[in-house]
Amino acid sequence: MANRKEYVRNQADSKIGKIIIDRDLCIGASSCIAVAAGMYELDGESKVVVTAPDAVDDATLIMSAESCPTKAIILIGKDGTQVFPK
Amino acid sequence: MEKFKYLIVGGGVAGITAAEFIRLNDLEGSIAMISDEPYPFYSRLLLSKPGFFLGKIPFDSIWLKNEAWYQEKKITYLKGRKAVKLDAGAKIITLDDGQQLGYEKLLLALGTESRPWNVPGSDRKGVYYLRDLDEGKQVMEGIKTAKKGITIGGAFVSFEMAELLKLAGLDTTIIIRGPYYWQSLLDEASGKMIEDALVKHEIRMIKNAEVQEVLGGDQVTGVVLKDGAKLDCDMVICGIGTLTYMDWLKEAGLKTNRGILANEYLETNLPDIWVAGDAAEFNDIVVGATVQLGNWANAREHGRVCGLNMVGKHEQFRFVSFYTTQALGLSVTFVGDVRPGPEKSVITRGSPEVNSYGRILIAGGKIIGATLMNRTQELNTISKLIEQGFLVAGHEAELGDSNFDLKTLVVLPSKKEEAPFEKIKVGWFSFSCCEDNTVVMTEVMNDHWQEWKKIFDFRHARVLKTNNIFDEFDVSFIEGAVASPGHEETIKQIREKSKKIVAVGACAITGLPAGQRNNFTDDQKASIDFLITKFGALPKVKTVAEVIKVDVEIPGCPMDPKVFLEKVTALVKELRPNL
Repeated sequence: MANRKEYVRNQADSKIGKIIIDRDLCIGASSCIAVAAGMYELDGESKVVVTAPDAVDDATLIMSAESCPTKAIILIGKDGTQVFPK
Repeated sequence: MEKFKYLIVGGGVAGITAAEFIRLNDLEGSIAMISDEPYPFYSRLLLSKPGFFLGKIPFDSIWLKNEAWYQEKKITYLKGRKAVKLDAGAKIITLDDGQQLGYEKLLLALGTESRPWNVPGSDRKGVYYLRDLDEGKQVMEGIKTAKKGITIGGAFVSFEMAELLKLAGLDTTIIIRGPYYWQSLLDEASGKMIEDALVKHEIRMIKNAEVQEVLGGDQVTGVVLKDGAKLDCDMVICGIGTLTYMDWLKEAGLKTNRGILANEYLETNLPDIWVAGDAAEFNDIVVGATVQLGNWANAREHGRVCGLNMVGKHEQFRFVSFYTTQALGLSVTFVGDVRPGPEKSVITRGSPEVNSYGRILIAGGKIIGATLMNRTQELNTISKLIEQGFLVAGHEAELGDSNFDLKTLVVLPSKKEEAPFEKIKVGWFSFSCCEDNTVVMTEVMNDHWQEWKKIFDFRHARVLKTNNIFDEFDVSFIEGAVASPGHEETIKQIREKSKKIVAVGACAITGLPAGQRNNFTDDQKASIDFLITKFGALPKVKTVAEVIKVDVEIPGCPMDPKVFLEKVTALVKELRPNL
């Protein structure tokens, strides 16, 4: 896909192994930042970047992806299946 | 009439998030949601993305919840319906088709609508607003054939739509009332950066101008400005602000201003009614003023706090507000309080010349807000500095140095001084009973007074002190049955002043033995009538839960000290989770 950035998640007891940000979709609404504090930041283009992929637990991470108004956060399980969006 | 425990008016992000957090905390309580749009929850924000209008982002990306979600969460979803009447006394909402819905707790998450453009001819075909999906669909149709487009207004919608029209291949003009773009919130240099971006993308901007009339027949063909200039166009997008229709709520006694007024708990002036999202004009404790915001993340946080408070928590809304937008290669960000004012000073970072320009607003020696042009990467850091009440004195040069990393000014959590422990305020009250629970409590205290002294502030407990304070309590314990109107009144006041109510002992929970007289025969009643009159008692003895909401019950006559300790420990954990 065109403009995607991938971040590896290494949290031991997490089911999610990869976080993908679709920069074409991201509009900097920042609800993910409000939900999962410490995990994301905006860059100079008002796009979200993941600064600490292991900062929060799975439930919070999924909630932060669900909060995105453009579904720009894609979560991939350690087994390779897409966790969100379903 | 159907009655719901939780009724939510509005199906946008504030309403949906509230419903989610209610359901997380109350698995069974009935929830109904009313939306005046015929769709399930969708992303209003995609309506600001040119890629969406131009079909680069699939249309179906707009759906954020499907019908199955409402069923799964056991939410009765009444779509395409409008609330038109509120009876806050009887707790009833009436819909536009006359249907009535009862509620225990009501959330108003109404959102806002486009401010109507009251210019002659503005009802012609080809004049669009952009607030909901149906309006968005019309714009999508319109750009397919239009050749010349005009956007009206000097804020978000106009900025983003100008880019859309240009990308759709239209000859594009922006008309603004002020001398530069976004005059209400930006300085002239920032506004000029927007103008430069427009010019660079061959979008015309006409300043200090207002439309006098929209020309055409059935279809718009042009506009005439107040100075007489005439412009041809076949499409106009109007973005001159938003408003909420609140007449029906005002009639019900709800306090409003520009929006629906609320405190920092997002409670309105009427009992059991909260407000969330764009329609809320609330006490922002970060800014220290009453504000109204139209922003997705803010509305979502509102929904979360309202959902929690509707299930009985008491959470303040504390959030440094912000807006971001990007179009034409320029990102514009507002954070905190950016309203201009004579008492505010400004430190600038970077410059328009290098296409990266920030303004940090300062009042009372602290950072209160910032406007950032192509510097969104500083949004998080500045939010933290605002929240932490960062003192500017001595740091002016750093703040003004574009290359200085603001992150180094943020106090990291580990270094932050720990807030002093706030003792749990306790009230202990006795009504019709033998007060044996009080005896048990003091006996338990014999073994625990040293630790209790550190964590409890007994503000009102007649057995322990002479000078009792009746102001506010984290938790109030009530023993005894409710036998008189005076009892009833006091207990209601205790509820208002207490976050948690614990009913202790048999009398408080069952009303007995004082309540035996409730089942007296008429003869027996007659024989005690003089006593009822003498003591001004209620005709029937009540339990505490019959008068107010009770959070925790500790039964027994007297209560079991072990159970009492267990419940107290759980309450301490809930009230002071960090202890």
